[in-house]
Amino acid sequence: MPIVTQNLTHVYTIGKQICITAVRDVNLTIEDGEMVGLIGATGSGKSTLVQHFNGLLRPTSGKVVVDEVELNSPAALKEARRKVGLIFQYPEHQLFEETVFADIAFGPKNMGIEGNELTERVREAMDLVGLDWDLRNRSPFELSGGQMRRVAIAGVIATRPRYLILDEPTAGLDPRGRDEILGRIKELHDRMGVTVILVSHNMEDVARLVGRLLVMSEGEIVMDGSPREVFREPLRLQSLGLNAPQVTLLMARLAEKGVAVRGDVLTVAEARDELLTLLGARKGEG
Amino acid sequence: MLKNVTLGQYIPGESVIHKLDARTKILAILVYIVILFMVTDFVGYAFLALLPIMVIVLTGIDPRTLFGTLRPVLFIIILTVVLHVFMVEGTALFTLGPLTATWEGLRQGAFMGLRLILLILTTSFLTQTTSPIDLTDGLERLLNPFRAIGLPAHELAMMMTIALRFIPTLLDEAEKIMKAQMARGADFESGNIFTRAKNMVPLLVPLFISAFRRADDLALAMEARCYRGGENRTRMKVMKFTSTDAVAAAVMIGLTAGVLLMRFGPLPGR
Amino acid sequence: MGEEKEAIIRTENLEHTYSSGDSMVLAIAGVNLVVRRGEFLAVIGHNGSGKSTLAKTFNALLLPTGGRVWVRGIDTADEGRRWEVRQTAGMVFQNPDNQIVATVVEEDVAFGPENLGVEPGEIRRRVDAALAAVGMMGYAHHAPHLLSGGQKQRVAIAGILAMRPEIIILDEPTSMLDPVGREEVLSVVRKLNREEGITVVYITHFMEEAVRADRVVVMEQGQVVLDGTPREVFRRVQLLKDLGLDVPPMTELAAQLRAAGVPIDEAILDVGEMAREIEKLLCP
Repeated sequence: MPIVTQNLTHVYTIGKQICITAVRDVNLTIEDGEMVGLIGATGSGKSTLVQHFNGLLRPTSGKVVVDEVELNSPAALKEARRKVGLIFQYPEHQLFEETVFADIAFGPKNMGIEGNELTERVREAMDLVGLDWDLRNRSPFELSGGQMRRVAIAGVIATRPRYLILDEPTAGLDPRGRDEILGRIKELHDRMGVTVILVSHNMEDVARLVGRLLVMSEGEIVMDGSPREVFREPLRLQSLGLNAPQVTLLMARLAEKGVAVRGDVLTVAEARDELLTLLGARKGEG
Repeated sequence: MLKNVTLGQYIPGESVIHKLDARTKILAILVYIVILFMVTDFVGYAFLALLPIMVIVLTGIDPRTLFGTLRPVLFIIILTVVLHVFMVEGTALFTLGPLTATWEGLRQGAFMGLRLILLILTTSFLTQTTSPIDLTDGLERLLNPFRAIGLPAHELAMMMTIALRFIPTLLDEAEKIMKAQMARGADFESGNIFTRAKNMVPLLVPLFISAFRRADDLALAMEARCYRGGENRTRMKVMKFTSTDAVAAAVMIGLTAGVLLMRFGPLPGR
Repeated sequence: MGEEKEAIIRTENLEHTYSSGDSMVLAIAGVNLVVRRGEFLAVIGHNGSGKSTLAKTFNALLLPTGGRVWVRGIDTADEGRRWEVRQTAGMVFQNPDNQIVATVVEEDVAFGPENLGVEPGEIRRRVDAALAAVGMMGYAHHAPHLLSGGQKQRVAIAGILAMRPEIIILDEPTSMLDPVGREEVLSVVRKLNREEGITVVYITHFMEEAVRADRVVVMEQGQVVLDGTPREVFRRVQLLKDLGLDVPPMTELAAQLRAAGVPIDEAILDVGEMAREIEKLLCP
């Protein structure tokens, strides 16, 4: 069952006079089992929007419905936090316990889980993010940056959310750390059927991973479609302060010069195949 | 939102008072506090009220914001007055159970209350018309002569600057951590005072860790920018006394002379 | 290519060991490197490869535990000239928040020259010039915590510029920024390098930034494993991948096309070059 927003609007007020509409009239349905990317320039309202999905922020107007329950009562909010896991940017900054185990157990414990079930969940979460079970009694603060990030992500996964929202989960990591985390998230989606919403600045990553892409600008969802459909309009993206993946830009550049190529190429492998066909065909003619 | 808390409530402006040297203002406040405590009657207060009135006229500060500054301490002012009314012995005014209110008490209570109000109003002028940076600079320069006796004037000012710089950053951070823990089911709102205090651990530990990390980073960055304490350090902004400062000094001398005359001279009063 | 430019930074068998308690970590394991005046050098490598440690030895924030470093001929281990080294080689750090000291932008930019004991009128001129050079003149009186990440980093760069350095070392200055902020920082740094002739040592793990340098050095386990122009370095696609690094997408595409038998130059770095190459192949 989905996450639905109806005419969702969120206005921040600063002092008495200044009002900023961070999210404007968003109507959106995130279906069960989707892997959705959310992109947009800084300040476009991405973070504000996703914080409504588990009730951390309340709409100024409009509503949010998770699994057919509107988030408008304390009980509904509590339930939503259980179902919708939210991982903020630099999540390792929220670690506080003395051991890896205790920190990961914090979420499930708050939800009343104890004993063997708790141990089981921590073990499963550590396994899912690729942390060795032997690390459980170490202090999280002794670990490397990449490992700390994984402990923090495990801390949310251990609550077994049906929906998982990640705000820039790879920010500040090196390429190896980034690929490791993204691979784990993909696996979580494919293997456990978790619905994933990935907020990202990295177009190459999004193009590779998600099935559906939302583009936000000035608080509104301005594009919504498969990555192929969205990246087919590189000029429009540029006007929104975003870029298509480089391979997509290459194809657009070639098309501009009159070369007949597909405009919706997303990965290096696809670009290679497309160019090989193109060059092979020319060779055949010649 | 938390970040709207501004320290000292500095209200930017271009008035004469704003342009006064911070040192002049700090010294003026000190003098004012001393003479405020020398006044022994209401006539004296009426005389000293001239200063806040002048400042209000010159700066154009909305008197309503002044009431705002008094609000947090209103309770203390009222308590002071009430305590005096009932605790001072003298001609009975009325009784309330075992407590007797007196005329003398009322007079002294009003006296003390007025003193507090004048004290708070004038000190708040200092922070309202002086930017934090000028204030720390002014303090540093005033305290500088005391370095000879081991007062770390520069270090104190640097600490104040860094605190002012990082308070908004840490407030932002606190809000973020709080949200992240709430997303993991943490509860910061319910329970009695002990459970609440215990529930703050997931907020406070990360906040402290972050503050220490920032302090480490900042120390390194300052070292990289050749910071080595106050020795041989110059400043971009040179503080200079102007004729306005001379006028302000004259006003303060006038006020002091007036109070001294009232207290010890032939003028009315005692 | 004319005469060799003067070596502004030089290391000789440089080693640095971190020790905490009983454990010792050899972060730099024998680096011999020359940075030439006016050069834009990018240093890449995964986390823990020693690139940050290397950068910190260039301005005496860390001292060699073996070998030596000279900055403009000054041995960084010479305690009496430490401040001279730091003034010559200014450093910008990763976290934009944690390197701004003052509560007002222009006061922060003045911090360095104030520490150097520069005379007030001269500080004023330097601060104005530095803010103009990074395009932040309009923000002189703003509070730093309300700026965007890219703006904060530009203020940090201005703070270094005001010390009149000959070298700027940037330690992953863009890793906490969004794409817009990253571009802001990189173009400012390139402009300072081209127009003011400032030598740049730029540490990053974004390959699309490294391709815009004059020269790229790849670090692994505390050693320099590759050193050359971006073209020379990035054509080693497989080696870079083995080191856990990215290859610019166009370089990877070129490598794959070449592997499939297409006679294409394998040292292609960006979309424009690739488009030209493909056109050449289509209409020889």
